Amino acid sequence: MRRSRRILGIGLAAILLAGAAVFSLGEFYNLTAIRQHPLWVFRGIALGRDALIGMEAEYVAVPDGFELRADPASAALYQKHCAQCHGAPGVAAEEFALGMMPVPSNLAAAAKRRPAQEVYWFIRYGLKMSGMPAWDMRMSEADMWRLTGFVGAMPGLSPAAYAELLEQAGELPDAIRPVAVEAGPLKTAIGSVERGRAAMQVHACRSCHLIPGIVGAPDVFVGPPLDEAGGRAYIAGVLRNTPDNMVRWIMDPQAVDPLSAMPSLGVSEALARDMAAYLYSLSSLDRSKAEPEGDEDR
Amino acid sequence: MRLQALTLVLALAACDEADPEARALVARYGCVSCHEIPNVPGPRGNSGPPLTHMPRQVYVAGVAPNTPEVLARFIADPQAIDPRSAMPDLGVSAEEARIIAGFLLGIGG
Repeated sequence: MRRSRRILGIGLAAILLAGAAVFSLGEFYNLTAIRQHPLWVFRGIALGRDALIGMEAEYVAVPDGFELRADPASAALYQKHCAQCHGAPGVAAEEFALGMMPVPSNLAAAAKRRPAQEVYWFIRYGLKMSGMPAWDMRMSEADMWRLTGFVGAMPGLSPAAYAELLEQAGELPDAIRPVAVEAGPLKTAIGSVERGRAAMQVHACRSCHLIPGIVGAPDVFVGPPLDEAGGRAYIAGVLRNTPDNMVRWIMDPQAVDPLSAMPSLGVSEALARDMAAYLYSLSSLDRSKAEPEGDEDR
Repeated sequence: MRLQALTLVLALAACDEADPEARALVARYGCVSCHEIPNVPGPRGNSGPPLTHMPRQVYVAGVAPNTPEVLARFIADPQAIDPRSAMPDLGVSAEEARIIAGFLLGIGG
């Protein structure tokens, strides 16, 4: 009895000691963006990351007709959504991106060692704490594969050829625009309520609102907490709370109230409906099930 | 046990005694019929947003920066801040609005 307790004590002490050593030698106390982790920590993280992504990406189904292809449309898409951080052949990343930690990777180099499924995985799901966003639900499936094909073709693209493609493309597409999300199996979604929660995550709703089911800072009150938003009599203090009005409000806040601080986030109608479903599922009084009484504003 | 009960009663009494003027105004204008306000008894209305974290709230009515002056103006004349607001003009005087705003900005943290 006494002996097993002693072994347990020694074991716990060893774990604590190892933890303290990793924390201090690994410089985990340094939270600044001007110093990378020591090489062995960096390598360790990369090893774990690549092992996990390799396993996950195996389940990504490559669509028929997919090819590594750099054309004017895909180059314009890349320039608009990716080049700010990753740069492009002969084009530096924007100033802000130079100070990011980790530094956004050069994708021509990444394309040389990663299969298309992994590139697609990064584009769609992003990478936690790396600065890489998830484009899931905010970019069409077709555009995500177009970008995957472009990145795969980047190692063969000279700076002059890239500039030429952009020239041919002319106007760049809007940064974030409402997209009809195509039907297809979503990794994170099981129903429209659950899909609404995921959509609220990737539209950064939680940076202004407290939302049950989405983890974030405990004290943000830029907009009101949304736990009871589905049960409130008014939306944004101006619009009678009905499902259609909720969708209208999420898609175009300024059409509802030109003075509102809530920005338009380019949410498609389909996703706005999912978000509304999630909000109504949260509140104790579900007004989406109330009797419809016309659609007037008040 | 008795001591604990006594402390609780005293604490509640102290709570009620803080800002008696503001509390009387909040009660008279029936704010809680639409808003949840901490430590103010009432139906926990949900027509308007909860007023539980006013000091941390960035905007008044979702449209104007949350300062004591703006909040007081909104309470006295909601449509002056947002013409589309569903918050009714309850005829609160400027001085009363100032007292209520001060009270709301002092609770909830």
